Amino acid sequence: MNESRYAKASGIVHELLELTVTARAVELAARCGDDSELRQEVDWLLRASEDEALDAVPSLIQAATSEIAAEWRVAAATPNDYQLIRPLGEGGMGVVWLAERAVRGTSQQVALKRLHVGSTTHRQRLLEEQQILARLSHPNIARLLDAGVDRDGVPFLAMEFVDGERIDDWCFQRGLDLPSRLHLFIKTCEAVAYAHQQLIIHRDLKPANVLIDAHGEPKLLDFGIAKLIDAEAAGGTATRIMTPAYASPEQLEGKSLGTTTDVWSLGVLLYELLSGARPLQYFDDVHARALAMLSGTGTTGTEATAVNASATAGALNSLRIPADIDAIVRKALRREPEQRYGSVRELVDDLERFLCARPVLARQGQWSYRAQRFVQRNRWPLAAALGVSLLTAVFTWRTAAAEREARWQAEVANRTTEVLISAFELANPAQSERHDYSAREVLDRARANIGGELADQPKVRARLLEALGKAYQGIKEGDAGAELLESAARLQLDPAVGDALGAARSLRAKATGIIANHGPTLAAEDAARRAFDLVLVHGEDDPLLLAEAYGVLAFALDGVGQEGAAIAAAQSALALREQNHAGPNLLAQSYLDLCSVMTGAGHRGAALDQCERALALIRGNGGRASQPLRTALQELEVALVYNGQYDRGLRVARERIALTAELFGERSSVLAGERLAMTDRLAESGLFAEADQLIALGMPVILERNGARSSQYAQALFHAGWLEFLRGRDTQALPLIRQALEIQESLVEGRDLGMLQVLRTALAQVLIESGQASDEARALLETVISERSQGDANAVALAYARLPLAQWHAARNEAAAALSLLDQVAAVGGSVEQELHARAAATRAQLLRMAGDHAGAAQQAKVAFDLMLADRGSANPRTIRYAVACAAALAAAGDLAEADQLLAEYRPRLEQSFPEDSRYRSGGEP
Amino acid sequence: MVAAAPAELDAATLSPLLYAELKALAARALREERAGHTLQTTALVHEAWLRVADQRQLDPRNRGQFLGLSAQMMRRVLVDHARRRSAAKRPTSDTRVMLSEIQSANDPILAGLDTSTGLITLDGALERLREISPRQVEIIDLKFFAGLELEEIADTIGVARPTVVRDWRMARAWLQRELAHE
Repeated sequence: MNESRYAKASGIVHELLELTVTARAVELAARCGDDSELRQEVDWLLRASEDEALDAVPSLIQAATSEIAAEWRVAAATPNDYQLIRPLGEGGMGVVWLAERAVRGTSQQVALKRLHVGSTTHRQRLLEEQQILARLSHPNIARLLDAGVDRDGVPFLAMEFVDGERIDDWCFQRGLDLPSRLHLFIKTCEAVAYAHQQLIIHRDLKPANVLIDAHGEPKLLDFGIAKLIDAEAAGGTATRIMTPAYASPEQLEGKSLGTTTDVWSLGVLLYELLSGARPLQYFDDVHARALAMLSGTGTTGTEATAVNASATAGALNSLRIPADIDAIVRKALRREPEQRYGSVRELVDDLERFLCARPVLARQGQWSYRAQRFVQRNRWPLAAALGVSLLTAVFTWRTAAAEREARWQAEVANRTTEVLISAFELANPAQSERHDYSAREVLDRARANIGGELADQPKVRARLLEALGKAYQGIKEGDAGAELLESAARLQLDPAVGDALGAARSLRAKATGIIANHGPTLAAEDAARRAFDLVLVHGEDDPLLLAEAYGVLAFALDGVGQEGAAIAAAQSALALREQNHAGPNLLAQSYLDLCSVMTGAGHRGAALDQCERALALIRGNGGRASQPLRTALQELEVALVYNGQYDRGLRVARERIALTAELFGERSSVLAGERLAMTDRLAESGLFAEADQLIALGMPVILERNGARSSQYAQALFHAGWLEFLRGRDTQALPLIRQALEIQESLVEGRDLGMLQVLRTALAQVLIESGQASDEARALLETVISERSQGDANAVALAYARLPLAQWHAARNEAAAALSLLDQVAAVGGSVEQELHARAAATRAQLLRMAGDHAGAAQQAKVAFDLMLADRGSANPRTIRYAVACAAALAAAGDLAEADQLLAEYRPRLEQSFPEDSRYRSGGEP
Repeated sequence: MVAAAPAELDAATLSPLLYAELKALAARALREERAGHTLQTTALVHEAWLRVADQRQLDPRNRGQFLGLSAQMMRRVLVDHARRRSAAKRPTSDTRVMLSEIQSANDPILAGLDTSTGLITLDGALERLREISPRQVEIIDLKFFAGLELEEIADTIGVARPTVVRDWRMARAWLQRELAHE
């Protein structure tokens, strides 16, 4: 056996190794005899025993522990999950990991920092600060992408991952000359100056925080992070985050800091880049250095290098560091902040003066100086001339490139127009016999045209696909728009087109289109995320673009179970817009977005506040009769309804309709559509007369403007029918709704399912409640349920079709089927109107009554009544109907006193609210 | 403080206690970011000793035996985690750090396996080796999972250093051969 041979052999090896080398051979032969397999095993183990190369712990163990560590370590907060790949290093603020953020199919590498922070009380502050940092958008600053709190409650920051080399290593290892080093340093300074404009101080500038990327561009890391940590630690006694060697005197003293603290650190960095040593490196002891610096006795300036015997090999020879640079460094490293350069800009200006051989301000006052520089500058007029001609060449080239671009743009525009015109020629009576083509037919024709013709012109094709996709989205025609926009985005991402921001635009349009047609679905979220990532990577110069991407993302996340992330995204959009001084309308849009996602998350009160804020902003901006005001009023109306403020909701709706009249005109189809749509809510509040008036105003306009075979007319008929149904006139309601459905069916040929589903459900409900629980009603509902169950089934939409089906079963006394549907309706909870739950309770009451359980029936009837009473008050027609039905149920259960009391209160109201021929007046079921 | 009589070291009682202790310590170490980029099993195992010895009034002379037990439990903690992860795992593309990527040329053990599978496989092999040479397994455990140097291992288990070195190298060679057939 292998095992026993190994055991035996290892015993032998232990003994052999105690012997001298010569004795071993003898003993080996004696112990193994002619067992050649044992002999082989011993030989093998002897070799292994003397092989030091094997002494390391296998990397498997390292890998396993670090991998498992990674898993225990991170489950990042929403909206994104991070997977740790490998540690990048450890700093004062925590361990930094290379991590991957998985975003539905794509992944982005980030530098993930988990912060050493003990207290949890300042977490909110941390998150607020990070929103300010997120606005830093500069090509030479690594972006802050995300921040939050992970599963362990530890705050983390996700920064753009820069795969680069420290600036000092980069300079030394390449032996860069002085101008090259200065150029890199100036770029670094410019990034710092940019951040200072945004009132953000770095506070921990050092070579380790300036990386040179693959393109040779410096990238600043950890901008403002020190402040974040300090803010976090502000309450406690934790030490400030800084690197003493680079920290300014005021930083070491713990005083308040200004932008000049970064000037100091940049001075140290510049000094180090040129000399390979830090200005005060010759003080061994940190405390000594601090003391020297604070007392001003430490020598700054390049002569200190002489004291430092071990300047880095890659440093420039200190003899070659010009006196000007020395002066610049000295000015940056003045002990008193006010004596330093007042801004990073001034430091850069001086360095640029040096590079252009103009007098450096730092040395002003030395009379010989300017003359010296002047001579130097004019020493080689030839070189200067060469420089000028080079500049001219560059300028010419740039101009030419710009012209090419402009010509190309014009060509795209022309080609786009051509294709669209060829599509519209279809609708030109001179060229074709029909002249009533629908928008869809025109678009279909255009789509067919770009299909074949433009394969060799990808840029034009992409532009057209995008335009057409948006047009399709506009007419709400199925998913053709989404498909076109997806093709557009793919093409825009193709190297041949290379328009990443265009792709982001297309994907954003795709996401909004899907949301408009289907509500927030996973497909919408996917498109929004891809758009967002593209903007994140390619749109770094345009924070407002990013804000827009955040906004769309917020909408896409809303309703797919990520309401928290949706709110965070909407807040980020708002923060970006605020920081970048976006106009009031854009800010208002952000408030409205927040309102919408907060509503989705159930924060209805907060949502209403956001809405009011938007409205105040727009009104304050003089937007009396403007489109943004109209949008805000529309949102406010919805928010009010969600908050149960129905009356104010109606007032806002009236204001909006007046505004629409002003904006679009009395005879506009838009106004008519709004008037008709408002009739539902008026009727629900019992304002039947006002609703009638609106129907009378709207219907003729729709007929005139849209014609009898239009979706708009179908909707108008539906509203008219529904109004009749709500006041209990089924015979008037039925033909209207049936006609609406017929028109819509003939128009859409199976597309635009949303409207069809509404009409089918409505027709079925009217049929069932008017006592016609026919096969037709059932078939209508089952079609709707089966369509709504496909793809991302929306439980709320399904509930609206399931409830009438339950009513259908109840009408036929099929209790089991009805109850199972009612349970499904109950499961959607508070995300639907209370009326739905009230109707469900009334249906349960009906089932119990038919089963002879009058007490149970009375109880359920009371539930229905109470729900409506709490939601809409006692004057509401539905409350009144349920009250009367409840009284009947109470009477049947023998509770005559309470029944009489209810009837006494509500019978007169019933007669007041509903016309004489109403089903509800004659004691029909509610 | 009145010292009670040092308790005997009872593996059956201590093992579950240690297991829980090590897991908690590991989780805490991770939370506090003290561990750098590896778990620093050494520190964990030593800290576990301090805590459990204090709680249970263990005889300091039993420390060596205790460390052996801790190392074994540390392995259990890691392997259990690896098992859970393997069970929950989607296809292997999800495994970020593949052993093959970080494998150095002179570390042929378990080449090509991802770390979870590797750890589970290693655990199985060590359990087989226990049948042949429990001492070698103890050495491996102390080195791999308690992070002890060979010299410390010799002190801990009370065996001459050269013997520990030989056992260690032979055991490693055995593992390598054993796992090559997996």
